[in-house]
Amino acid sequence: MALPQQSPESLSEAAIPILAMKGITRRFPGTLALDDVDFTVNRSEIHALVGQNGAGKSTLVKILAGDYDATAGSIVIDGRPVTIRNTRDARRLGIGVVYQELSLLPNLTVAENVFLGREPTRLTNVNQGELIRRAREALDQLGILHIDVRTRVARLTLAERQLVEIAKVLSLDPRILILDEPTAALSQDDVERLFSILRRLKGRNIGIAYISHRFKEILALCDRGTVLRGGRVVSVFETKNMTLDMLVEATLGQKQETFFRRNVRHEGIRREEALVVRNLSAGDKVRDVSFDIHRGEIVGLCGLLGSGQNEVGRALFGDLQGEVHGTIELNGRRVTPRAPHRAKQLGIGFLTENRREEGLFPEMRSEENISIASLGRFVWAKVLPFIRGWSVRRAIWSIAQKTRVAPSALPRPVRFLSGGNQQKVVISRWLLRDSEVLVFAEPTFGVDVGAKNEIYRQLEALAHEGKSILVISTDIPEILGLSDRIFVMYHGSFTAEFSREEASEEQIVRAMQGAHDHVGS
Amino acid sequence: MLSRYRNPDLRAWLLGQVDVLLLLLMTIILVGIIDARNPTWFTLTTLQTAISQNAAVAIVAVAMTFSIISGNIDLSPGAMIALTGVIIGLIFEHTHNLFLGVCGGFGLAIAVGLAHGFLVGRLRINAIIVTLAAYIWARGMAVGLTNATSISVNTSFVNFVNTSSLLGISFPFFVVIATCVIGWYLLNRTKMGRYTFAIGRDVRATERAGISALRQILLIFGFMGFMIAVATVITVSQAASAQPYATDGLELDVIIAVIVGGTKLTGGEGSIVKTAVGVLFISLLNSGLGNLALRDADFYFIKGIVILAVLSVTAITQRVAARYTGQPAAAPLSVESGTPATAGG
Amino acid sequence: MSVADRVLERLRPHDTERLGPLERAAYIFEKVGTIVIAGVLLLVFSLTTSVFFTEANIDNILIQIAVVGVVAIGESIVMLLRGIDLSVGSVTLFSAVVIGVLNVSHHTSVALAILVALLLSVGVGLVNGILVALVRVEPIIVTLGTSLAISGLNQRLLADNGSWISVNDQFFVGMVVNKIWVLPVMAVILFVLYAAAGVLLRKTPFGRYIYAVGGNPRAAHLAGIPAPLVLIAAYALCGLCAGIAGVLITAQVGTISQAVGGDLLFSAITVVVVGGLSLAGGAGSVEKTLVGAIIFGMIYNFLTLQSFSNYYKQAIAGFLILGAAVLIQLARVGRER
Repeated sequence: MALPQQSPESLSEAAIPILAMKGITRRFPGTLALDDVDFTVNRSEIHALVGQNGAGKSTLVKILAGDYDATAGSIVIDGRPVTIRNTRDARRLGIGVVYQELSLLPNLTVAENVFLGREPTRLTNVNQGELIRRAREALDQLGILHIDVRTRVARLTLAERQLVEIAKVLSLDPRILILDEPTAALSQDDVERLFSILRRLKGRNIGIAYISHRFKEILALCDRGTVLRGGRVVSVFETKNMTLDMLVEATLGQKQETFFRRNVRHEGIRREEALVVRNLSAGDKVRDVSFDIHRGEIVGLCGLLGSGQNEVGRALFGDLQGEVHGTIELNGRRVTPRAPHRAKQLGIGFLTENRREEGLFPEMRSEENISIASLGRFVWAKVLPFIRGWSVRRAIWSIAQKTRVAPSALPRPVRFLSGGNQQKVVISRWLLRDSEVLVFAEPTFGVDVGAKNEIYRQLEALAHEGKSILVISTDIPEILGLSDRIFVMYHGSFTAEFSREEASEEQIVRAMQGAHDHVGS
Repeated sequence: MLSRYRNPDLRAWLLGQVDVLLLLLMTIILVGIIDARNPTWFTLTTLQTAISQNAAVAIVAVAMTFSIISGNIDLSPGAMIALTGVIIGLIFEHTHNLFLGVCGGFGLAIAVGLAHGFLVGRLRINAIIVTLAAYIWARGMAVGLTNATSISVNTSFVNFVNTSSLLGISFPFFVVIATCVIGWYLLNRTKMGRYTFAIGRDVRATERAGISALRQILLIFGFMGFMIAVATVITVSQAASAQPYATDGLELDVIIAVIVGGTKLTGGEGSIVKTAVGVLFISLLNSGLGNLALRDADFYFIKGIVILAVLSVTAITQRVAARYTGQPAAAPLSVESGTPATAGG
Repeated sequence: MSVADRVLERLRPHDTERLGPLERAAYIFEKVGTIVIAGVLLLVFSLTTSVFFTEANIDNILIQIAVVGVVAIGESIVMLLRGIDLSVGSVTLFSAVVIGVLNVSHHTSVALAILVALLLSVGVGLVNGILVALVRVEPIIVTLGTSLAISGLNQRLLADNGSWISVNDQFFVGMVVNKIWVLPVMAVILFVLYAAAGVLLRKTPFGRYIYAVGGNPRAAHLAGIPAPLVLIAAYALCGLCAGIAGVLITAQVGTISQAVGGDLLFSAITVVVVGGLSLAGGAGSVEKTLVGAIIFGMIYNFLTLQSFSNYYKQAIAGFLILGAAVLIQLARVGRER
């Protein structure tokens, strides 16, 4: 099916686009993140920027925001060519970005946050009355009537905070507003509210760039869109001519050959279920999820960011705050992993999706990072708790050989290692532990291609040994290449289950977008 | 503060004041207990005297509130007051001009304050270490410069400070009130005050909004320096001399006054009113226990126990109040992970 | 790899390609800077003052730093966990007072007195640890409160026992007077304790857990490390160190009174800071604290020999901390650039 292309003549007549990026190219050592990309946003338009992870969306935004330079290409704002050297330039030129990490200060009021650094003053004091009036005005103009500007941000919900952030960015009077994945953690009602506000904004002659993975929302909200794939523009469309299926097809990733394909030995998967999860629920993040993992099996769990897959992983490891309901059975026995050290004792291992914040000890050596979770095994005796240096070292060396961590990297402080090696260090930690059940969240996040393959081979080997593995990832080719079975999550529950034979990238993407056509097993 | 500017949600505001209200209650109980033993003790004059005697604590506490809200505790005031006093004394000794001495004192205190601000704000050295160093070296210098002897300062101004009263309010008491008012105004009405809260919560976000954290920190430490000088003038006048061992352990009382009042050590929260109640508590405690004519040993012991008790109560009430004021569904700062990081301790 | 190679490998910055000369200097400074400074000071002092490098004087220095040095061990451990213990001064005095009260006023044996004193000191540490780890109050506040209470207790006990207690037991006298091989007993105790601490931190799981919890509390939790237990144990250890320091100080001063151990807390923190341990936790070693103590001791001793007034010595200590902190920070900033 031919993808609908936008011909120049049918562009909105006469009006000069508020933003026109032409031929944008950005090279990094080793990769071409953006290749001759044209990106145009008109006034009073909400323009979607779509693409899989790594397609180049965030690079494009960073260039606009002033964080990066373009290796080549030009940027024209409102008909005038501009150069953006830093974030201050971007702000001056009228580019406003609402990031996923909000920049609000919870201990100040809404009004103070919106005008932080630009408060109306009478000499050195803040003109409170004027501040409140202006903040009220800013929110009213957006149609945000339910938030009192005198409230402390700490008392607002995430959705409300997001609205305040938007008001803050808008108070700088941008000509172009960029929203990066704004709906990842919002409820349906909040999304609706956000959309009505964004639609109102169109009346202000602003151009809005809306970056999202959620195709249903894009089709509901945006006027036009640009699809990026592998750093290139593959389609510029008008949403009235687009359907969900067409979007799915447009964003699909690389050709089949570059997939990692696992050598599966079917005898490897034994009958017994190692892990059985029934009716797992946690707030509205995880709704009544049930699945099982057999010995020697790799189960893949995927979904858009915020769909609940990470929470499922954390629930298995006892790291989820709030009420968790449901049952977990390990080898037929009911267990309650209430805390990580309990889960560890039960034989469950967990690789977090953010090794820097929650995985590594940056000042400690790699070898110490590896052994830290298993030290109990390597002491002389309970009463003489000294670490048997040589036996630890030997064990680490043999694990490092399996995970292909260079021996010279072992005595180094782990913060000096590359992303790929760091990830391998954390994997080695759980391998040393010899856990029966392994939960890996984003196993190749921030890892170069070579190391990726090594990690995949390692997971393959683990499955052969009889371990039960749950891989949680937003990287679909990865899930497809690794898993024996795949579950897709959307808004906290499963929308689909596939076996490795039936799965295809297209089907998974559809399921991630909420299409329910393949539920059941 | 109960103003239409600030409190759309009365319930939340009230819950935030529980700690200081409890402190007020405990202070009243304390006064009651002491009054039971010494029925003639508590009068309005006693109250004023108590505060006047602890004027230095009160004045420094106002500045310390800013420091702690911004996330930078200051351990230097006690020693700095002594050193500043010594400088005033030395200049006075050599020139017989108290005004010159006071100028010198202000100069020193503010200069040191700014230096601290620079080390903390620009070089990013931990405030505890920088001010701890000052605690040590300033005292050393004070004692060294005077050879451990006090310098007598007796002028008409000193007499004025000690004996004058306007409408029954002594000069030190008046200065304390003035400091509180100025402090309150600075914290709540000026940019400096609001930015203090901002950098106490998140320095990076504040800088991204275009505010210079260095400037703020310089202002805060400079303000402390200024207040140290003011407190020195009062202290020297009250003793009619510059004493190198003066105000030893003052920062302890100050920090306790601020924390017990409800300002959090983690930064980003606090108020002058709360500090004022804390100062009230400490002053009455010091005065009351002193009045019971306890042995030195008992004085410190009881003071220690009382403070420990009050600190615990404050900590627990804050914990409990936080749970009730709790944000809906513990909204995280970013969209991504739903699990906010828990500190290990 | 030969031993020499391994040593060099440990010292050499690991990504030399990526670091410029300034960064490399900063890195090396951070690793061995303190030792170099100690060596330089030793040289300079020995050359300027003839009596400095004599056996008697070195003994003096070692004895003088013994008490502070022991306290600094506990303080280092707590600071590795991003905490601080302000009660060490009071607890040291408390330990001494307990020994005095039991041994002199109640005629208990020295051994029993010491045992009780140490147990009580550990008890205080446990209280600190529990309040920090389980009730989750900030370490500064907790230890401030404990410090006050124990201080008061000290006053009480001393007042009830005659304001000062003179401890004359042979055991304590022997500790000051005797020598083991060439070193005074105090010094041997000091070195043994540091060695023990070093072994604890490097060679036991508990030690590793300390670095983990201090370095990244969140990751430690997720690696299954019981952070609260580690914290409680650390504060208990700090209490123990203060207790041991109390035994040492009893031997040194002979007469226990309110004046004893007043500046101990700040000397201890000076020593830890000069030794290069960061308040941010997670990195550092007790060995460097020992070097810090030696530097501190040498400077103090030198100033005394030069007849510097006692008062200015305190000022110097303060400036020392400042200087050390600034240097360390510059090195860190230089390294991260």
